[in-house]
Amino acid sequence: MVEETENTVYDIETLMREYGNDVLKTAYSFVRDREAAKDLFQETFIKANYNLDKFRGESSIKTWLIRITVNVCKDYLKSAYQKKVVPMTQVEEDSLRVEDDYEQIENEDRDEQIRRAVNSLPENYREVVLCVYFREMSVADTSAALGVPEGTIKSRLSRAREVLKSKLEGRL
Amino acid sequence: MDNFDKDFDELLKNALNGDSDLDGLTVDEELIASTMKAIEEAAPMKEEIRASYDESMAGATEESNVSYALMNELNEAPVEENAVQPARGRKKPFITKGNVIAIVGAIAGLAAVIATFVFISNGTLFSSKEDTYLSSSIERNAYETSESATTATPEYKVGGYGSVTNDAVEYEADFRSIEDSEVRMTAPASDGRYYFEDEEDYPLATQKNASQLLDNVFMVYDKEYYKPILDAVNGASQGEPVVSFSMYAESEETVEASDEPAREGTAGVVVQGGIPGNGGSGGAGGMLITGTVGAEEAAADMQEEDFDINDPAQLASALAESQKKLEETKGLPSDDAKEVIDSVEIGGEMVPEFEYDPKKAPYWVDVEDASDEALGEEAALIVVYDQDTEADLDVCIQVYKDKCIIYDFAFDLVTTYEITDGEALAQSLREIVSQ
Repeated sequence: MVEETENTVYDIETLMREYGNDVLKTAYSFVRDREAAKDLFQETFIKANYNLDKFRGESSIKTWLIRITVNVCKDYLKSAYQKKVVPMTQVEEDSLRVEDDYEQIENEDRDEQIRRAVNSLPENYREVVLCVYFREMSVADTSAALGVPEGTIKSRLSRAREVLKSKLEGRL
Repeated sequence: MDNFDKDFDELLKNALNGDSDLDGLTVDEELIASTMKAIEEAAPMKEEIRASYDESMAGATEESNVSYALMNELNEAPVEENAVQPARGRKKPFITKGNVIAIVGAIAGLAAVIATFVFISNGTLFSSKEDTYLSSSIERNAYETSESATTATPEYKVGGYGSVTNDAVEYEADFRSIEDSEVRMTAPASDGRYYFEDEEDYPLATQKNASQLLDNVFMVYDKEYYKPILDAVNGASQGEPVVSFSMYAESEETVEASDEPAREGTAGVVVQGGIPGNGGSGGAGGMLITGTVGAEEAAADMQEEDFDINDPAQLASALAESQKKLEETKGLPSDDAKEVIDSVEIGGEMVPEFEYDPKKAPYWVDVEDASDEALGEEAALIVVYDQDTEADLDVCIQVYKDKCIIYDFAFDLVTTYEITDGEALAQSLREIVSQ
């Protein structure tokens, strides 16, 4: 982890090596496309590089990067073009099933349903779920990353769980 | 489903992290090198990149922060005698400090219509169910375009409704235009829910236009209820309503709250008024309630007690403290201001989703959470107009024995109406939302 002190001078390449996977996977979690995620990775670090002086240290540098990532992803998703062409997650189907793999297949199906349910959540719910459960960020970090009060984060998490439960309860 | 109930968190984590599409998705030297190159090539566009960053960060900042930045800007504008509520826009924070006036202008129609509809209630702008905020009968207001708004001096008028025509405003790329603000579908979707036509983010919880949460708390989703509710309040009002606005306002008048609410157990609310008398609201709105001496003294004694969100005095005190913290941070949230406290007990039950700390002070009160959790239990009646799951265009109406207070969380204003018969007004409102 990049040691952060009051006088830390951040090097963008170092940040990229240290937190790049977090940025990349966060981007992917939003856009569900590997190439787009890489593009958004680049966009995130371009923005970070030219705005490092604006990092106030109120959160960790990682949270700040994730916040930029989230914003970049949201802009990407909002563009009209992307709304039409965002690729759907492809589900690979194995035509050959063996009894021994049944439990694994069942679990994979369950997980896929959960991911689809998460992806179908309204944006505000989805991003909170992704930050907390996928990126395993704390409520505080999620609050800082999304620019939303912690109470609202908790509220949205709670409601997201209710929505997911209602979506999945009859299927799992 | 036992596993689902008990191990939901684990299931969720594992499912999200176990996505096979993530396999091999890591940062490699090639990506690093290409990104470094991209950074170098983007150097000529540095200023644009910085501006884009500012806009996106401002857009992601919580609503109150936007409101305070906006208040600071608008407070510099002269407040004329005939003043309409300046356009404030949605609570979703799409406003940057540098573009505050532009954004205000850009959303003037929606904001002015809603704000003046609430606080300068003076008639019947919307006279039929077919009327919308985009009615062709609406006049243009001073904030027609973002360009003009940057230089326009706010013009205020009282007694009328702000307006905009369909082509009168421009919006930021991620800003919801008036055209997108159309209310729900006329028929429920296949899942039985009502959705706004523009976004799926705003499902209405029930198939009814108004749902009764408790005996005296109603959640109203349909904008069409709003005008009749406001008309009922205005009809019962005695004299001019008192509007509170920015905590940074120079001219303030304290309105002592009544000690006789319609229901027992409800303490008086102290509202710091703005420019009174003409029914209009000048300047920028701020946090809704500022503490007065009474509330502050009570707050000092309350630190060791359990905080009761239903107690308006406690709420006022906490919000006042929050305002102070925001003032200290120049309108930007500090960690302390943003923190929330331990769970609150309401009606004997713990409220896990709504946490509040009188010591640290909330940065913002999510009316959605409050309204969901028996906020109105101690008050005569609260009718909450909630268009979506955020505190966006949310209005909370609280009826007491001799006054009615309307909290507009979208524009950070509270208006106090003096009334003679709170029970009658409460009954009128119940009849309206029960239709």
